[in-house]
Amino acid sequence: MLGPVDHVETPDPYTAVFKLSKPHPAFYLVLSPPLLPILPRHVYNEKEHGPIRKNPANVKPVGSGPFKLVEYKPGDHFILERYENYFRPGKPYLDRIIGRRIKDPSANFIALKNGDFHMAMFNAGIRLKQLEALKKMGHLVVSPKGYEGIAAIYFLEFNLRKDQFKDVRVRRAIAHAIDKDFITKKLHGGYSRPATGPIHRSLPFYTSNVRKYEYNLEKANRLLDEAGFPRKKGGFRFSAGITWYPGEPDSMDTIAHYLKPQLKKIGIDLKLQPPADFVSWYRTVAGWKHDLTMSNIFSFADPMIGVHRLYRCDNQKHVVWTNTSGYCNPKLDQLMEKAAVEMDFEKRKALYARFQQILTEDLPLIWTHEAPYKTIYHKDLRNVVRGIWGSMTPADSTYWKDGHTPR
Amino acid sequence: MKFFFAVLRKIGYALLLLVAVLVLNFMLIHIAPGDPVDTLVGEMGGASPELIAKLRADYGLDRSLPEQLFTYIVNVAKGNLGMSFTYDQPVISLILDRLPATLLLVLSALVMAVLLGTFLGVVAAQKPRSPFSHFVTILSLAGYSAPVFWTGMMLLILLSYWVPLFPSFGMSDVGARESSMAYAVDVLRHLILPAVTLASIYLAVYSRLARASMMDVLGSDYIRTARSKGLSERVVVYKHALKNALLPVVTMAGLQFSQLIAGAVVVETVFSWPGMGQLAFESILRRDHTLLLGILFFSTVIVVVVNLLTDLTYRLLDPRIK
Repeated sequence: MLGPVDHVETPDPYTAVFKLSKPHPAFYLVLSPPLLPILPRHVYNEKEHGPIRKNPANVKPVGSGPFKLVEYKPGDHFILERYENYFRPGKPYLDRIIGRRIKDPSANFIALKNGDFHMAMFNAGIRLKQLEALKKMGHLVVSPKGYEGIAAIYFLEFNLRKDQFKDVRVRRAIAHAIDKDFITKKLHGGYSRPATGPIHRSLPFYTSNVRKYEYNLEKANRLLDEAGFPRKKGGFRFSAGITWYPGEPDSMDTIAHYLKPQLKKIGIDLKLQPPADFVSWYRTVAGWKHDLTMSNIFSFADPMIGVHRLYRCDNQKHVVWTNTSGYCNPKLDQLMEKAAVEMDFEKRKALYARFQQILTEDLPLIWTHEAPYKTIYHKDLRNVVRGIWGSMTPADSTYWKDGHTPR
Repeated sequence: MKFFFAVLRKIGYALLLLVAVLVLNFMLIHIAPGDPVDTLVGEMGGASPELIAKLRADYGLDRSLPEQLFTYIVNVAKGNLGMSFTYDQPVISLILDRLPATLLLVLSALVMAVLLGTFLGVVAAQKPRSPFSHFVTILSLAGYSAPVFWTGMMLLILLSYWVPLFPSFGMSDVGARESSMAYAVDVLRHLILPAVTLASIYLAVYSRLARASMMDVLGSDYIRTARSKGLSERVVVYKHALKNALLPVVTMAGLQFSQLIAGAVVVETVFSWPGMGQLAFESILRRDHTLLLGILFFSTVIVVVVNLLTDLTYRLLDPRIK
């Protein structure tokens, strides 16, 4: 993200001049608070104070935001209080924010219902279908806004190093066996949208003009025959294991369980390999040991920040959320390089349209759906989520509606 | 003198046990795939292999396992439990921060289970074939056989969701800066559901134990003597019989302390109780080895100390035990 930054000049205390070695179309996004928080040099200078991760200020942060930390119990709660010398005069409006970390989704659900929480982010771990019940309570707003920057997109990843998936016809056959509408309408109760390709709808570079794979089992079966995987005794052509990122059951476990009977219909014996926990999944996928995995990425507002990493030939790393599928297309690499220095929006958009077309042809992944996260908050709270980064930006404009008395 | 040596030997065994616990747990933890850096990378949403290697080196995770184990044991011997990978804080301060919450939960559950269990058992023992006695049996068996997380969830749905009497999480209303009295009431409100849940398993044990031992005692000669003296049934049961019937209950309470701590892991997770159990559960998921080892070490110390005390109490109470 900051690769092209050559050096930074600071002519006066309020100005920073970034000198770049090459054009950087996503530079202003990189400067937004969630991606580049400003740290005080006198506290975090690595030469004097050692590695940032071990800096004692990490548990007693010194920042530039609208609130100051007055109490922190790791893994349990923190209390923020209004900072009177905040650089935007008159702000923030709230006197205090109490943050609590509750991992149990049912506890979160009950606490939201009972009014113990006035706001929760990232669905609070609550299942998509239960969000409807929260909405119906009347005092809560369930809003998909504020996650346009994150733009999470969910996909089925092939490990292209495995013989079964080397032929694009196999991957296309599997795509034809997935009914995306069934996933979004039935399994998710309308709380998600089908994805068409590698770029999320909320990014300005999205195009729907790509190769699409309609639900068609007959076609899928024919493609598998052509690819040289005839049905053997017992009706199966080959078998494959599927694992998934743990922690988002609706978008991961549910899809894997849906895929098993679906793929059986086209003669693929899918073996469910539930991950024991995050680190176990990490080791499997980062070790390129998976056949298939359900996963997702955050796009971080610009493809060059969050999307390229899955497809670049040189980014096949033993780390998750890199190019763990083992895909490599030099033509696509060239396209990404061009798009990463193209300052003209329209030209860049055209490059990314081509990008989406190539990837939907090659199909190293099957992008199943987009499920925008939800912020759940009390209806009397105002200015809760603003901008594409939503609740990841300073809450300096949030306030209670006149007449509301928080309990 | 003999007593003194016996105590010394006990302490010697206890120390050996502690070392064994450390080494065994260290090896067990490393059987699970992955290390704390994997978790960190997950939370950062990915990282370059160079950064990952640097993090491993920073934490000393790039060294061989025997080397890591050796350093760890030397540090523990020096009284240093190390730093948590997750929180970047000394393990000891994290544990001490959480210990009171766990002790509060475990001790309340223990007291509740022992008192209520004994009472139910004693009442049931007086009329072993009465409907009440059967009711106690059924209730205690249900509590014993229901998975503790299920009991917790049901109580949550019943008494926090349908009838919002109790809060659904935590140990207090954070940030409600009130007097210490109001704080105590607040904690009590938060404590009831988790304590009842944890006690539900052990209630069965104590009520069964008290019932059996009470029936045993009620059949003995000295009780017949007491009855023939013309004492009222209440005096016979609660003054003469109860004392003796309590012995096995007390023994059990000492023994079960370690199991209670184990049960606390589940209960704390269900009720988001900020104790050591929750910390332990998370440290497993995050492969936070030092933190987990520290917690296991600490729980072992507690259990060993409680057992030592139980042992010593016996020696003082009953000279026949040598």
